[in-house]
Amino acid sequence: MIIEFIEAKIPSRHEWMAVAGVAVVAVAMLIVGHVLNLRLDAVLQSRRSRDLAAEVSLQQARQAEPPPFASDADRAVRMALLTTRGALEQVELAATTGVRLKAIDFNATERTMNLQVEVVDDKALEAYLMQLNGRSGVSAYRVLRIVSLNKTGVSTFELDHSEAATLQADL
Amino acid sequence: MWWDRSRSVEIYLGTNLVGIRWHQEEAAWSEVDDLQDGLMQIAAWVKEGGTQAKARVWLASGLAQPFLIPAGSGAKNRSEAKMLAMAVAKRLLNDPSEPTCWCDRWSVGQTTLAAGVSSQVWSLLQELAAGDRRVRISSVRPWWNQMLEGSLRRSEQVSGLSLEEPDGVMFAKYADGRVLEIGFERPKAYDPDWRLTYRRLETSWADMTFMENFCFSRQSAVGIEFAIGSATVVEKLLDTT
Repeated sequence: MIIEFIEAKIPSRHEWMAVAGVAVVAVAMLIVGHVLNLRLDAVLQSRRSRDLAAEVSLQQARQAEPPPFASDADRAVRMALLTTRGALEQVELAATTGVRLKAIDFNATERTMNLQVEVVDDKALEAYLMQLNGRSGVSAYRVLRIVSLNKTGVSTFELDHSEAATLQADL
Repeated sequence: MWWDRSRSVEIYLGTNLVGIRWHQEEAAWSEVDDLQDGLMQIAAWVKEGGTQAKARVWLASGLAQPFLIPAGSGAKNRSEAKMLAMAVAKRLLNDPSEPTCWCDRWSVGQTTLAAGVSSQVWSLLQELAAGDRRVRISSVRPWWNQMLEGSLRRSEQVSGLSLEEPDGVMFAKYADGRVLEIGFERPKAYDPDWRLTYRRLETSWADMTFMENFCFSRQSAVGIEFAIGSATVVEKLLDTT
């Protein structure tokens, strides 16, 4: 038998309440932590699935049809590949009386070159076409459009002075 | 505990003798004039120690006197037995205010062991802890409790115990692990020789088959885990023939 004069101190009501309060706060924090953890898991899961879905859709989109910028890119690539030098040399060498070159326009997408010329009559245009087409067996120039400048009435090959013609050749 | 930086210290507090023993050190002893002087000596020792002290106080039998609440006391439960013990201690210690009491487990029809410390001793101990914040008293026990506990464990062979301490003589009679009689005697003015006290004891307890006699010693016991001081066995105190 142990004789001890200092009795074991029983905690007061306030001490019990303080301990209980701390315990309640700890349990609440555990619960909140658990809930937050679950939410974080859910968010991460949804983000992962979204990323996966986005990747799948991107792959599908790649396989399905070209993206909107594809035409621009294609145009740029085609422009880079366009062999304009030879065509321009042809145009520079062709010189016919009664025909004046006004504008040269390259269309990379369609791989064509349009020439706008002013011609005095259809003979000059025909001679110019023959000159262009005769020198090169590759390019074939043809008349695309004829516009009358003096608005006196037009027929396809009955041109008179100050008619403008648009010629087109495939590059 | 790792956060508890205080050193354990054992303190023996008697009416005319005090001792201190720091953990794993030799005990120091000092004769004092009275209790107040003794506590001042203890305070000085603790201050010398220069660290936070977690003290176990062992009270001499004169300061923590044992007594019994008889089986037919009329107490109906432990709380009543304890109130009765308070009243007995008050008269035994001649204490005008409330003494501090310890009371054993109470059971119907059985004597109950109790011990009391006077309010004066208790308040002096509290002053020691309050005056110097480096002392924290974790336990206050009677020194004789160690002897009684050991003897009760061996009570199949032993039926009595006497313990001579600087304060006086504590004696007990027991059977089957229960204390039947217990008391404390100071040397009387007409009885300066301890031997005469023992003679009176042995005469009154003549029916005992065997009695263990111990004498308080300042030396640390070898092989026995005594906190401070030890008890040497006295083979035969008196030649009663």
